[in-house]
Amino acid sequence: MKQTTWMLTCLGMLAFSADALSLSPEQERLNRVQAVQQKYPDIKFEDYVYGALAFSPDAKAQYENMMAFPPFESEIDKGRQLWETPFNNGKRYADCFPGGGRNVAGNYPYYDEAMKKVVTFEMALNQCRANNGEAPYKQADMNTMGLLTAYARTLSDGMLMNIKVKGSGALAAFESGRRFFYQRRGQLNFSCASCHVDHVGEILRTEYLSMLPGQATHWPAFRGGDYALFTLQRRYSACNQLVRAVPMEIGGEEYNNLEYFHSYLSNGLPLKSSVFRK
Amino acid sequence: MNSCRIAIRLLVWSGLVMGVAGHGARAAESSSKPILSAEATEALARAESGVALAIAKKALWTTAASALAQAQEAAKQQDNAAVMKYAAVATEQASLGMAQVDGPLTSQH
Ligand code: HEC
Repeated sequence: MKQTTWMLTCLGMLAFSADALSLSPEQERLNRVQAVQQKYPDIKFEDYVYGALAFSPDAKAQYENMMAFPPFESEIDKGRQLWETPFNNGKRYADCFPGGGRNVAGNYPYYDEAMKKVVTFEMALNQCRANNGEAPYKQADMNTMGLLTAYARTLSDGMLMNIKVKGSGALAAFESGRRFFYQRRGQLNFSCASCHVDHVGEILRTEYLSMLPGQATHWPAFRGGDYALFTLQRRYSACNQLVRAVPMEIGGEEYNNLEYFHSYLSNGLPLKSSVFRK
Repeated sequence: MNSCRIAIRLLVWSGLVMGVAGHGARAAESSSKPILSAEATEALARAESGVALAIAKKALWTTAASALAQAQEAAKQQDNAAVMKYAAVATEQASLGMAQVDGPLTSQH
């Protein structure tokens, strides 16, 4: 009798922890989307890509005006030059990707079984450089990698985010990113989810808080009065610092896994790179 | 034009002279002050290792990092009281940060 009680207790605990930890990626995505739909039934799923702008028609209208003639167009052009300039061996970035690099960015990050790690689009660009005898760019360098992606990612505008999580290695990387997203961090004791799940659409200081689904679709962004270029991971770093947590390395494993989880949660939403954000 | 050049030369020279004088004063100061106390040295070492652990655990707060930097700066100035004060903050916040990431996750469902 005593033994069965013990066994049942143990089984119960197992079931509980399994429930808390191993919600499938797709179930988690659906839950997150549904939660936003319940809280804001008037905002269409496709409009989640506008993030904070989806809560403010005025800000959205201003955004549309600006995006008709983006004041940072010349920066995207610099990126185009980087993309189009042949390497010393005569090859180009376009030769490294199917379709010349069109409609590929939505497949990144992916989990590489051979390398046993998550590969971001930035890493793929650096792999392309390395395969062609060029030194890799620093991923935190907005003047090289940042600008390059500001053009390269626009080649996938309109593609739907299409992240896949298959196999135990991929799932472990997804879980690690997921954990990072829900872990409290920094002196202010917030997780990413505290703001972007629990308080979606509410105002923090002067800004509406964007929803998790759709957050990974439009990078890099040009931010603020000086249109500073922010890759997605630079934004992670800024959000970490917002809560007084020391940020992780841009291009490091923690942020790569976070990006994997985060991008999966944007699955099914259209990409549009190099947009304006506050 | 000429007076402008003279003014610049004056500025540069006065800067140099002040720099040299300042340097001498500081050297005199540090030789007359006592070295860091054993207590402060130990507190600083504890803070440094706590912060290193928190970094490894991806759990460091920016406030802990700057408290450590202030403690290290105070150590250079041989200011025992300030070393103790900032090192204590860094040590405490480093361990709070580590406990925090081991704590329950938020908003699971
Ligand atoms: C204290 C609240 C807070 C926390 C915690 C927080 N953020 Fe943010 N985040 C913001 C604010 C404010 C903005 C700007 C408004 C917006 O777009 O939501 C923002 C913007 C973003 C954006 C850009 C959205 C867009 O469309 O431009 C992303 C992506 C993001 N955060 C991800 C994260 C991640 C990942 C974490 C955890 C590492 C995190 N945030 C933690 C407050 C927070």
